[in-house]
Amino acid sequence: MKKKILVIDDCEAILDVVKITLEMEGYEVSTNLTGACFQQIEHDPPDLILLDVLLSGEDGGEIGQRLKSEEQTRHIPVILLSAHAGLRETAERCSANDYLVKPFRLTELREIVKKHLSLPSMTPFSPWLKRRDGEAP
Amino acid sequence: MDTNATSHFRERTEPESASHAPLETHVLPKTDVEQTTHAFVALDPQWQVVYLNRQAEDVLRSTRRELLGKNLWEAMPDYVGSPLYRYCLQAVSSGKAAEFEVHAPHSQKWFRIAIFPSPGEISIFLTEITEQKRAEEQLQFQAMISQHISDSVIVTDLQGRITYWNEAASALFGYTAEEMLGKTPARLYPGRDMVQPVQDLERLLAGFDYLGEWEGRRKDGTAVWVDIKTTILRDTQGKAIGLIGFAKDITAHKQAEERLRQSEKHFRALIENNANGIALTDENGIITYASPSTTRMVGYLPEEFVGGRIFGRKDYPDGGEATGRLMARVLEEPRKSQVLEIRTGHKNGTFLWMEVVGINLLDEPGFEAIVWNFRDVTERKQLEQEVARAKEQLEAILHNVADGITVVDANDRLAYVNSAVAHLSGFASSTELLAALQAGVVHRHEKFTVWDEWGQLLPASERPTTQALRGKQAKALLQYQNNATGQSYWILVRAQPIFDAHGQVQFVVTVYTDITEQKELEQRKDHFISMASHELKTPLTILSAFTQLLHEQFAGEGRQDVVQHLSKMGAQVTNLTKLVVDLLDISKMQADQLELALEAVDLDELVQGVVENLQLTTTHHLFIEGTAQRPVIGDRDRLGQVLIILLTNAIKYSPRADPIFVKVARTRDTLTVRVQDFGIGIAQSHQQRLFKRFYRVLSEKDKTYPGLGIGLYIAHEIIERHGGKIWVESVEGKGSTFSFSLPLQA
Repeated sequence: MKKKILVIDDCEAILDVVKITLEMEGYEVSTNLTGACFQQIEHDPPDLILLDVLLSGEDGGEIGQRLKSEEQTRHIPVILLSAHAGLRETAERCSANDYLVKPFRLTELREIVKKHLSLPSMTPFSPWLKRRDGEAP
Repeated sequence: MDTNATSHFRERTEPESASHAPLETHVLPKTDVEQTTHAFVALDPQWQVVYLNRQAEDVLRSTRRELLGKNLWEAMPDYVGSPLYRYCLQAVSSGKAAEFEVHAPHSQKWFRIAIFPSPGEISIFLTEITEQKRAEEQLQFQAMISQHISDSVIVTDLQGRITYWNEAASALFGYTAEEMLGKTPARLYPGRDMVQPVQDLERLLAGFDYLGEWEGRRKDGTAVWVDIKTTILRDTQGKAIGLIGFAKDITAHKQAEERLRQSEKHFRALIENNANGIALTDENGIITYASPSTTRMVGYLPEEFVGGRIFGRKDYPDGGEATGRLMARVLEEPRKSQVLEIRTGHKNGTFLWMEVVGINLLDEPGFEAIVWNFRDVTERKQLEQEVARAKEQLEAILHNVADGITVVDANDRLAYVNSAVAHLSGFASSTELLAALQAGVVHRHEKFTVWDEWGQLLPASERPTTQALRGKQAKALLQYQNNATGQSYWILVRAQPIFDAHGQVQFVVTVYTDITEQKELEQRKDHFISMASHELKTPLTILSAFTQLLHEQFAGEGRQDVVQHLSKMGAQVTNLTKLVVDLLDISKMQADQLELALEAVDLDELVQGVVENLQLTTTHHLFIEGTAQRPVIGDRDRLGQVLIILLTNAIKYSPRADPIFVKVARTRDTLTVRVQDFGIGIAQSHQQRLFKRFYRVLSEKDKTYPGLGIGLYIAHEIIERHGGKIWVESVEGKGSTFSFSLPLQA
């Protein structure tokens, strides 16, 4: 069964290129232009979420934090995407599993996705990210 | 005649011509003898009376009938033994004439008797001199009095010879009577022409007294001023017999007068030449005197003032009220200076500021005036007004300036605070703030949080004002929460010490600039930078991703030509991305907003990662030597950025030299990373400026390498913010070594 990946970004072209790249890797990729898709996530939880931090009208960081604080979604690895300079701090703040700075190399994208899908869920990837929820790694 | 009579006998060698006349000659012109005032008796050698005139009858109190032909001494036995009898015998026996004066006790009369003996006859003349004698006595009496009076009395005869000189004259001139009798007074007045009194003699004889003040000379040579009164001296018959002079010593008076004259001269000169105007008025303010300097001050002549009323002119623009009050004060308090400054018109229509001082000396004997002193204080007044205006202006500026300004003295006591500080502190005015500070209601520092330029919290001892009190210019950033309004402010604090002449801190001026708005702007700018970074990077991300996608697809299809084109595209997208990132970093650094996410960084791991990544993109061989072994506190991404900058530079500037070394070394308290290449190197002259923003080495002979010249600046800023150092060692043509060191935490 194909692993399901949800990509959230407010830029359609990004969604396109990420979708093409990851589908070429054999993943089932769904995309969304806004973060207002909790129902969809709860109804059909993906195996990994790529989340843009600076969504128009919404704060990706907040969405990430919410995903990580809710029982039903906290196990899903969340990788933050952003061109924003303070991405690492944001990732740390909202307990995201990893981050990828835009622009990125396609190989980086493939590796980071592969890495988190092969790891046990809810294990923070980044060795310098502190765990905030007190759970054991 | 009285035998006891005192007599003064004077012998005459030359008897008067009349006495030589023989008896006959006396007898013959009987009418002459009858008519003379003298008593005359002629005797024969046997003492028989041969003639006597009518006056002789009176004197002898006997008639001619009783005496003619008779022996005189038998007829008048009372005379035997009298002076007359004795002189007659003596004259006859000696054959010489005799003359004497005698007093007749019965008649209380004085007579002068002259006896002329001749062979056949003896002539006796008797002249009554009672009046003359009395006058002499009187004179003597007067002289005795004048001996005892303090005025000098000097009597001369009509020829000017001194006949009398009293004690006071001796005291005055220093000469004794013996020295002066018979001399003329000329020696007393050596500077004087004595002709004058002689000429005056006629006036004196006409009954006028001479009055004068003469400068005399004492015996000891000193000068003496005398007041002289000279009058004619007459005998009882009114005949002028001499001059009597009274001299009074007026030297002291004269000197005092001279001094007075001198001082008056001085004072007049003072008043007339004084720059100040001086006027005198009576109690009604009528001007009795105005000094000439008044002319210079207000353009009027003194004559134009005298007789007029002081302050009576119409050119006191501020009205007569003030001068009226001044006059009232002057009159009220005698001898006390009253001052008024008033604008006064000049005759030429301009105005000047006058300081008027009035003193009431109406009760000063001999003065009896109000003295008014006028001084032109226009310049001083203008200066005062200018200073006041400048002060007002400065006050207004300080009051209205947006920056808060405080001044503390060397003891950190608040000396000045402007209203901006008060408003920042939630007070309505600086007065209120100062009052509150004095009452100890607020402490200046309690609500403040102070940071240094790098965002480090400053202890109280390092705050700008405190530092400035130690003589150092200082600045800091202050966050201030106004408890009254609840508002929060960002304030830039700059303290400047003001030194005295000895280099000691006298004051510290601290300026508080409200940069809250600026801070907000910066935050907005920060936000904008983030936005821009997002907006620019999004299309770059898309471009980059699709280029890679195409690259992979064409590579899969074996389309090498397309793959080459796409590689070039990809490289330029990477360059573009790098430029955008660098520019954003620069703007952050400029805005002082490069924030470091500090953590413990394993430098060995970081170097390893960066080198591995870069090795994939270059044909140069990168070697790592040495290890750090200890983590350093820093921003992993930023330190990685520095390594990338130094390594890409090394690759870029050593096009024909292969190896590049990254050497990591540790000392006791620092970690040092060196990046060494063997490329073109950098001229000494450029080395110092390499780390400046936008600085690029441009050389004619050297090939110019592309770039914006911001990499080393960014590296420099990042290392500085880590408290480290960055430097270069390079030899042109032989290569460069860029190094940075970071402090190790103790």
